[in-house]
Amino acid sequence: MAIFGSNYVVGKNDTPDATSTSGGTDTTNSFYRGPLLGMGYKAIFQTPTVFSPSGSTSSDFLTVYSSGHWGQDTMFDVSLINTYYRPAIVTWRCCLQFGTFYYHKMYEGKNSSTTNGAGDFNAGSNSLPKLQINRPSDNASLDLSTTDGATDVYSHQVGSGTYSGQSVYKQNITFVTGAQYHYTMALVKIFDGGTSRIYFSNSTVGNADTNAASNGAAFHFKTISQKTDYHSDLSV
Amino acid sequence: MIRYYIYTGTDDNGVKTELVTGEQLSDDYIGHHNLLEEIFDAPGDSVTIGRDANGNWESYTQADVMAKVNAGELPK
Repeated sequence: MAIFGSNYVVGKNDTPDATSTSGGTDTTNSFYRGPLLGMGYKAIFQTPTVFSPSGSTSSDFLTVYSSGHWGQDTMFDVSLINTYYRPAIVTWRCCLQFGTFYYHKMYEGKNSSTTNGAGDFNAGSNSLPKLQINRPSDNASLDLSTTDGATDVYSHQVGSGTYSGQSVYKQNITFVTGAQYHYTMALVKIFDGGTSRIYFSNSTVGNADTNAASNGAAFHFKTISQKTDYHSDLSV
Repeated sequence: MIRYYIYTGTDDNGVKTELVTGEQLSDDYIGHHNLLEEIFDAPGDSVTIGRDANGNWESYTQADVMAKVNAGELPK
């Protein structure tokens, strides 16, 4: 019996990640996992998996844009997933509203709101990946904590009154792997509301800023190659 | 064969960075972060890569990884 008769809930087919019974994994590439409209998501994207044999490393993977108009608040979840050598999942719910970035830690497993690592699923990772927001002017950063927060200190205005009279802001977002040989990727789940305009790695930061200044809210996946099967793929 | 793209450089705080991934980063990203790109092709039966004593890239099978873990060279 077919429970889901179409692409209503189930996403798209992935290729095998070559994980074998002897351990190890491929460095999985970026992926558009489909809309998952039935689950409430407009689109789900996966970044390439990254790691370093020497220690933790960081990936400057995403910039989000928002204007002051109603309906221009980009709303999304970011799950940082360790795939090797031990699994872990940490998730934040995020929203850039004009120049203010809101973040809330999500519960993936551990039920302790008072300790570091609250809400994470951790099956043996000796340290967990972090999500940071970064200020473009001087790269000052804030590690998103277990405490709910909102800040306009790290965003950057890309246009003043340029989008139908409203200003446009952006927020850079980086993830940091936990330690050496921690293979980590980000799964970004975009909700309805906000926008579905997306730039990929073939768009430059400067061109994305210029386009967003004139056209409003958007996402820029700086490490994901352009996915032309996505309905609003932009190349600027 | 598994292709690894390796990026090294120094971040804005002067700290050396090293990033390994299976997907080539864009020229814009490489230029913005002032990274050097290196490509290393590992055999299909390997599970990860690292540097040898001379700093050159080498691939490891699962048996190699287990040996390094048992020798205390890698965390359990």
